[in-house]
Amino acid sequence: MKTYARILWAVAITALLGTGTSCKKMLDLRPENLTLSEEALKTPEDIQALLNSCYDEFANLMNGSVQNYHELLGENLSEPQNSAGSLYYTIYNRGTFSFRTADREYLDFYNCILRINTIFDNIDLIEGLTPEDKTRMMGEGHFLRAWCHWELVKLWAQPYGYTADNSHPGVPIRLKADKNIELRSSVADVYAQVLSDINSALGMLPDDNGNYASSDAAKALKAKVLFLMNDHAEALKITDMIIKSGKYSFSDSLNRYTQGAPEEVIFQLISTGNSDNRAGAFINNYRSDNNPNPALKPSSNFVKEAMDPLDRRSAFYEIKNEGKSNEFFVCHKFDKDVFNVPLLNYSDLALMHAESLVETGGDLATAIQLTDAIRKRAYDTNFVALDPAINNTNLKIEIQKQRKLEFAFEGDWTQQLRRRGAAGETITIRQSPWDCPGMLIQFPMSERTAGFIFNEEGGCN
Amino acid sequence: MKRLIQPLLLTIAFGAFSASAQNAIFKGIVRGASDSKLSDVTVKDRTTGISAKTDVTGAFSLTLTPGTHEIRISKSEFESITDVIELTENQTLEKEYVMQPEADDIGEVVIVGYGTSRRKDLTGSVSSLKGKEVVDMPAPSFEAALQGKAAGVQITMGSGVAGSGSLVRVRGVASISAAGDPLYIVDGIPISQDYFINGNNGGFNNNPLATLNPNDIESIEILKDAAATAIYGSRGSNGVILITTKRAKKSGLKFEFTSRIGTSEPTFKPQMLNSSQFLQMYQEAWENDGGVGLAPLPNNISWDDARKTNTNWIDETMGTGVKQLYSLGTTYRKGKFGAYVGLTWEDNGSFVIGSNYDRKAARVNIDWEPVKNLTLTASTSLTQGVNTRVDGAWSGGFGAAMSTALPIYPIYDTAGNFVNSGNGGWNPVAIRNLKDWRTTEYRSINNLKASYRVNDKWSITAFGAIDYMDFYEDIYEPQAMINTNHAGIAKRTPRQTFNYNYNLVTNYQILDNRIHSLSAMAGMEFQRSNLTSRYVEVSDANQALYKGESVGETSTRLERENPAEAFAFLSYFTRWNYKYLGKYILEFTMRADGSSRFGPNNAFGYFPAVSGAWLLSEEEFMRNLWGKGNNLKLRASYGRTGNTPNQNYAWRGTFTPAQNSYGYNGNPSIFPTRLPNPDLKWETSDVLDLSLEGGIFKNRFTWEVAYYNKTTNGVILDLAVPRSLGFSSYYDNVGAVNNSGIEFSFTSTNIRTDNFSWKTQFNIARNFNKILDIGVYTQDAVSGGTNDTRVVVGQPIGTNYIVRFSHVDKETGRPVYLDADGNETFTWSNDNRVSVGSVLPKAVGGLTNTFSYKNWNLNFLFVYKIGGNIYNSSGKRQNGVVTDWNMTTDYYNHWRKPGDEARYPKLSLQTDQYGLPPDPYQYNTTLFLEDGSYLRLRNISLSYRLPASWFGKAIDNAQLTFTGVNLLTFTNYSGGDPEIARDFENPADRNMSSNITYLTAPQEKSYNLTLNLTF
Repeated sequence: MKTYARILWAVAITALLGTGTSCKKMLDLRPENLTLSEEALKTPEDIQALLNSCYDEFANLMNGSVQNYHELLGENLSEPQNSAGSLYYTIYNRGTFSFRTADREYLDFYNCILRINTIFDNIDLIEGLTPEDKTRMMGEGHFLRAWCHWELVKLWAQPYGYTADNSHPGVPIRLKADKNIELRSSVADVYAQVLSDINSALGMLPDDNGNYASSDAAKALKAKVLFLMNDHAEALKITDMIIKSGKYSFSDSLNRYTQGAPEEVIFQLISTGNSDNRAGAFINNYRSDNNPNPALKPSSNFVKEAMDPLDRRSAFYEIKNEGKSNEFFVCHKFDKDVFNVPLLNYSDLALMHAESLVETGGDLATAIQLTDAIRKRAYDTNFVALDPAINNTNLKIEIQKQRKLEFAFEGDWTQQLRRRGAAGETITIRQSPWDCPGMLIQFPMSERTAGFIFNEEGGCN
Repeated sequence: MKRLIQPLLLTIAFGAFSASAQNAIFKGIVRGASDSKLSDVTVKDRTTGISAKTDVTGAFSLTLTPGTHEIRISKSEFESITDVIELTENQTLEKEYVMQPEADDIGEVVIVGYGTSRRKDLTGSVSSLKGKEVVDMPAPSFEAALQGKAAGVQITMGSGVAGSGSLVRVRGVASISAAGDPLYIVDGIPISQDYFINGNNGGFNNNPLATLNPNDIESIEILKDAAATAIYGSRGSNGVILITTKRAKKSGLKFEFTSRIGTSEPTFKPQMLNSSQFLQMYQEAWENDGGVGLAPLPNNISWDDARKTNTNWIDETMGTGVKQLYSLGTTYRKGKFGAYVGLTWEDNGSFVIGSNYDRKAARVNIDWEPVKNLTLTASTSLTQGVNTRVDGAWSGGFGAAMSTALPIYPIYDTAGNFVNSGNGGWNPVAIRNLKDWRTTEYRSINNLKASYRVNDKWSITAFGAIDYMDFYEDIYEPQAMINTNHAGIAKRTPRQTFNYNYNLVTNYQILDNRIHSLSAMAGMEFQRSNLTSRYVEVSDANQALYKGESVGETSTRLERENPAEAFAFLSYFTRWNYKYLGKYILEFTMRADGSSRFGPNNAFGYFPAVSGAWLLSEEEFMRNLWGKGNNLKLRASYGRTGNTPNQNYAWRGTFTPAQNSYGYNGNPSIFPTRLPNPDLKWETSDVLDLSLEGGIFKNRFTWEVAYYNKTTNGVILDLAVPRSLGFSSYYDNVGAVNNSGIEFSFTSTNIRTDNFSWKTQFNIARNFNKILDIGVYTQDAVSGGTNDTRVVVGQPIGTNYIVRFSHVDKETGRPVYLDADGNETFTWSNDNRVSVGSVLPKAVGGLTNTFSYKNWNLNFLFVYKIGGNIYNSSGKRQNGVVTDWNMTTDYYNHWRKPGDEARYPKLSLQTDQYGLPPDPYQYNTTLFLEDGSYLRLRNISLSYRLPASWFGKAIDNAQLTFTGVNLLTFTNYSGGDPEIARDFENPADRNMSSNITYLTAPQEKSYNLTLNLTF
């Protein structure tokens, strides 16, 4: 019995100790339902899917979320409700607190950039990728990375031109998918990087890329960037190219969002249906046909200007409780269940072209013609053409007025005011100077590492 | 010739004497703990003076005359046994005795890692509690009974919400993002211990110890220093608590029945304003801001309606609960077979109306020696815990009663229907009545151990265990709550944890003589835990899923399987113990632990410890100096323990695959979800422990003083990295923390006479906690759940990092703050935050006094906490800028006119009047930071042993006990109960924000009556 027992135990010990040799396997546990990063990017389909996720994330940012922040800082909205912890209320009031700021958007832009950098880091290792596809994907990566950095610097820094050499702080530039912390680069450097990425994209993007970025999209984006830099000469060259290409034209539709304007669209975000709606932040905050109390409402100053009975665009606005002490206004521009979000379109470039012509002392007749095309669409039977002899100042005022009414609540006007302020005009936005500290969104708390400069606190009073 | 005559004569004489009656033989076996055989035991017949000693097999034999004999069985360090036997002629009487180690600490047998030891021989720091002490403290969960009993062990008892768990800290907190609670081992199994298995749903964390039945517990050992815990290497850095369940020790069939009934009340009821008080304060704020006329009230209530309504929401959500407990424990032992069967039913009502924890538990523990030298033990337990839930804290219920449920809101409208019954609304009565919410947990802990004694020196033990938990939460929200056009939604979240563990240990006694004693132990262990979970949602449902599935026609069913998770540990360990001359002891342990939570480069951590003890009292020179019979022992140890992150795959880089995301433009997408960190490794703590323990007056007064110093390196932090990296957090080893402290405890038998005794136990522990380093990150990198504490170098873990409040300006009534440099300012700013307070206490401890007089016994336990700050995070909303929250009566002390000196500033509805940004939640100032010291009468119990004459032989012992828990509290804290047991978001929150209160429920005060019968 004793011997048997001894043998039994010897066997048991050996068996159990034998597990030691396979110890690595016993401890190699993997998460279910997730792919390990070393196995995720192997085929061309994999890298295409990663690229697609960049558009996905970008679309979730530009679904109105980012545009709404610009509008809240501007003069076209009235004060949102102060429910506890309301970010919109804080931003409207130019709060510069790092614990209540646009954390999510900041993270998502940089996450999109991280995904793009991952593509760049790995694209050479993909087997079976054709050179055309590789070039195209890299072009798309450059395009989106440029746009992400541009959107970041527009919200988190003073505009281009705030200082003479643009050495004022911008945002961190990220070109690698690693864990090294980057501090803020100057606005000059950020814009240089943006333009560098766009120029790379221009050389790599195909002319036609379906719903994704094409070379025209890169051109249009470049024009917008240059325009915002007040570099009208360079911007003109590009807008001219696009207008003369004849690929795009003015649409009859007054509402690019709910009614669509396919002739105008150079690049848009695609919503495939109710469960894949990329216009969510517009609809949820502005829609007023089924909501008596939308979160965002136009300001009375804006509505006074917009509700010109001769202007067909005035139909987008409605007065509620007229004449009473609790009178307010709503916007009908985004009253639909689901629609695409046109980010780059012809009307925008046309008005930019017109304004740049005026700024550079160029062909005023073209400027007037383009402006009138927009006005005709808006005023229709009440249209009265502009005086051909109109002076520069008044023409510019009219162009800017049309810009304000055309692209209302699309996140454009506040940037235009700040651009003009940087160019030397005396601009106040809701009684505050265009460059007061509260006009910048504050960086999230997490950026608080050694050497990182936060935006000035102190709001706008 | 002469030499033979004397013995011969004696024999004849003796023989003549005894020949007058035929002798009887009295023989038997004396056993000790865990069925060992005790040699050298004196078995003496007091009647005749004849005695004998037991041999190595524990056997004795006495030849005695017939008649009555009083037998006394004794051995040093064991409790003597007295027995009366009746012998008849020629009878051979065989009896078996089991001796218990002596009641005082020195000879006591203590459970240590993978074995037992005599307390005398311990080189590590181990505190022990007997099961009775656990049961004597009526608490829903057993760990609450540890409070005040062991130096350096701080327990914050779970709040009054039924089923809530305690926060246990052994010698301070060393971890930040990794778990800070000690490791719980039940009968050798490291049990599943997830406080966040249900997140922070409804303002409540899971208590993984809730299903452990306190009535089954035989003893609890708390291992504090590296010498004791290093054998558990991994996860031992915050202490180890060993729980041993009951086994059958005494021969025969024995029963123990306990029944208890008790009440539950809150220790403090929040003093909220009533309707007219609220209206008065609200109107005053309105007028202070320049408002004219009657103030517009929250939720558009009219003043007429408001004046007619006066709902006391605190009384609607807090009342008196009833608790009852019935427990039957049966032990049976015959020879080599013993069994313990325990059955318990406990229904724990709470003062929180609607909150209840019902536990039904069954356990069977078997010991058997089927063949010589082979011992088998098996345990199995099955528990069902049903927790009937209501919302609490930030999620509603009594939390709403302390905040958004205003006295001007009615419960019912004029038609008799609930007002504002929507989810997240302010009518907690409506939600409690409409929402059907319960969590059910089935827990089964089983083990099987086989121990084979190969020879006198060598034994081998194989052990296997399974800890299975099936936990599901059912929530039913009817139509009235969620505003749908169908009957309601029933949700269920089932989660299963399957935790299995096996080990193989061998013990060898290399040398064992009077001079040297050397023993060695070696073993290996493997543990694996699998977690699976699902989510089920059924619409158009008529009732919660635990009642059965009953749905309407439009019902849809959503069922989603969540990804399964698993972790594993593989370990090898050894322990060597050398004893020289019985008084110099040296011990060495080493454990190599591999964890699946680290990459292949860092999977294994090595945890050695070396310790020694010097029994000074055994030294000749000390015997004269110190006195014979008095213990004096010096102990020292130095070792390393470790800790792992709470996330199972923290080091791996992962991508979300295409099938898990929506895609864009109709095309699939994949994306990275976490960047890899292959360098993530063990968090290690190096611990030095020095202690001196002794006794005087023949060990009537025993004391122990200890010093420890623990430095934790490579602290695992879930860092909030700069978001410009593109992701918001990742786990890394950063930084170092130091915990050091002193513990002192004593036990004194003040008076011991035949009828009366008085015993006192006291302990105090002072802990110094300091963060030494956090790498390149700043204090905002890791923060507590509600953004209230920080990790600051040079300060303890969990520093209150807030703006200083100076005073209320007498002229304007506005609050005056101090900026970072100490200058006064009216503006509150993030940049003016400084480290001002600490959530960790300076000292904790307990004082127990036990009086016994004949059949009466009076015991009371005071626990105390000195130092540590409480931050009243909900106070800043109640007594800050006037909003849609109710206020407390404390707020009467506010500024009214120029020249007033008051605690609180002028009432206002505008945040800028307080220099705040447009967000009342940001009013984090030292105005709401208070000292959290308290002295609490934790437990007072008066028991009476009913006279044996009432029951005769049927019942061995009957005892009636009255117990009061938390009856008295002495504190300067103005916000209610100073013992804060808050709901937490994640492990870092649990480590860093333990003394922050936010609508937290007070502790429970209870009166209990217990009847205990053994027969």
